[in-house]
Amino acid sequence: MEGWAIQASNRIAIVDDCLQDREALSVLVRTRAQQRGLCWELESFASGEALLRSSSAQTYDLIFLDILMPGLDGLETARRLRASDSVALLVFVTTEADFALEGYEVEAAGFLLKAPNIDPARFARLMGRLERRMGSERALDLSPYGIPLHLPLGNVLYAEVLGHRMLLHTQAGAHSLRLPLEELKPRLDHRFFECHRGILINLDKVVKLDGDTVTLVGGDTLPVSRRRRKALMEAYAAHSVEQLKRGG
Amino acid sequence: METILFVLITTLPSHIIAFYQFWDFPWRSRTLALVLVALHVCLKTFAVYLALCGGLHIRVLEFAFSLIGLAIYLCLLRTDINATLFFFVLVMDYLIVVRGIATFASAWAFHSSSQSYVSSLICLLLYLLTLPPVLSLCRHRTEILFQHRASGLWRGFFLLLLSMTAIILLFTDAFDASSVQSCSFFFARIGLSACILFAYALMLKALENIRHQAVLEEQANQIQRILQTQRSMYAHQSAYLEELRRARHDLRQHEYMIQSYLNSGDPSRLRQYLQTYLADLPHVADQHYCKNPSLDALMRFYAGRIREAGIRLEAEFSLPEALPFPEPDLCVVLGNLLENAQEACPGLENPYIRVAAKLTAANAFVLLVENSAPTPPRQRADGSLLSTKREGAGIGTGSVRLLAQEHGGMAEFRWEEGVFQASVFLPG
Repeated sequence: MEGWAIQASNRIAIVDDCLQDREALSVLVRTRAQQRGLCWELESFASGEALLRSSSAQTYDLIFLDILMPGLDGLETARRLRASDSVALLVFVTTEADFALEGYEVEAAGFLLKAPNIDPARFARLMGRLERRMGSERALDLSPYGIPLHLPLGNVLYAEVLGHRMLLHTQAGAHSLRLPLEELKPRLDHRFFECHRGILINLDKVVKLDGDTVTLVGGDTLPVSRRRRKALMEAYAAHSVEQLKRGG
Repeated sequence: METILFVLITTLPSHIIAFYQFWDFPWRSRTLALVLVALHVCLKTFAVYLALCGGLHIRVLEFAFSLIGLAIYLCLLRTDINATLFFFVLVMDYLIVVRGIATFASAWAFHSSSQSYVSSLICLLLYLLTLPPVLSLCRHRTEILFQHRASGLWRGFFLLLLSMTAIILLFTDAFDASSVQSCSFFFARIGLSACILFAYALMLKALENIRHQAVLEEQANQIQRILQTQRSMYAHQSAYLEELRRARHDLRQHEYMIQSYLNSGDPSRLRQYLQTYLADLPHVADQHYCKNPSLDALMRFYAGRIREAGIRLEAEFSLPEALPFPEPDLCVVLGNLLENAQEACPGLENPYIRVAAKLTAANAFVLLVENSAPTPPRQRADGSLLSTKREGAGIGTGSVRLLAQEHGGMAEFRWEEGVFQASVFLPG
């Protein structure tokens, strides 16, 4: 039984109006892929518009975005990507020492300074962190149970038991499944936490922790059992710190 | 034989407490201390035996031996002398109280002599009952107790406890059968224990206040740094504006020159001119790290120092301009961790520091500071870090922990594969 759908290759895009910079970064990325024996599909775009126009804009796992570009700048491109539900890791590439301070709005995964040259050691460390994140974006595949459901774990908001059925809530809507919660648990990862008996939440989607309730993206408020309050806070803290360690 | 057992039973707990309390502390030689203490206990037992045969007064002997014991700890422990003395009196008082209650109980209930098997047994029972809470109290409080140098305070409390103990010992005598049975003996000992508890609580309170004061001082220091950075930032920006003004003024001149080179039809001279012109253009040298002005200023201050020290710095901040936490607290946390990270780096090959901070969707503040550290830091059994600069726990890490706790959050220090990681989480 194979519960995880592990992606064979990751898709990476480089968006930069300057041909030389595009080339320089491509070389670094290709060399890295070769050294690590990784299979990456790399594509370059000369502008944010070109990326957004391409039919594959939503399929990238990692996008390097130059900040200063004529037309759509890197940040605006990032905002539009996010608006179109892209979950790609975004790395801003900049010539100025002045970092993209707006990065937090679009959940940037990192920054690279390209002037005078990209520091290879820094690039290696950034990629090290990003590779782990790309590799860890798992999918939930319930076909072994005869349920035709296959979606990225990151899209799951929470799961709850209602009578004999389980409701799997995603941003796009809920799926009602005939599957015990215990069967689902081993198919999830560390970002999921059982905050109440029969309720499993995705810690990435928490927007409010309020003692006896927790509110998720989309506005659903769920109960937290009294004896799990402390554990929930600790799990949330550990998860947040872990994300920072991996550069997110 | 009865007396020897009694003396032994009432002596051993003091060393158990002492070693339990000071085990992780810096010693000159812990092994030597262990050997000497063992020797000391044996000698004492032997001396008591001799004294019993020769009719010597055991009380004087006990007093002399406890002083020798104290001398061993004072010589071999590398802690503040006054703190050690305070602990000595505290432990001594504990022993006196337990011994007092045991002798009183045995005399009163069993009419046995003060150093009988019965009182030894009661003593043992009392120790078994009270030692676990006493030991856990010692362990949990060490961090607060030894974190700050408060020699004067230690001395004051030491003298206070010593004088109380002296009075009690002068007027009551556990080795004197007639005094043991009196109620005044019992109440004197109970009173002594109440006084000890009171003095100990006061001491803890005072140290807590000192600790808070240290955090406040730390905040003031960090704010001073921010101010200093902002002043230099202002000077920087004024100079930059001045340069810009000049560049704008020169622009017409350049336009004229370019036009004339174009007209002359010599592209190489135009190219040369353009190169010098571009090199002269003012460029923004100021680097910003995050939108929050206080943390940004603090980050610039440390970034300058870190880069000067030849350490590579990576900073990734995802923070909005306004943060839902008091800025002085955040500055203390960031400043302390950066300070520690920088201090850990000198002498290392190709050191780096990585700082990352973000505000999560649930408005929690998360901060991570990593630095190269080939060897793990010294740590106590309870996880608190020992300072590299002085004896006892680190002040910086201590105040970071304290601040995190005050906000209902947590601070964690970890060493993994050559990297030291300090992380702080403050719930929104």
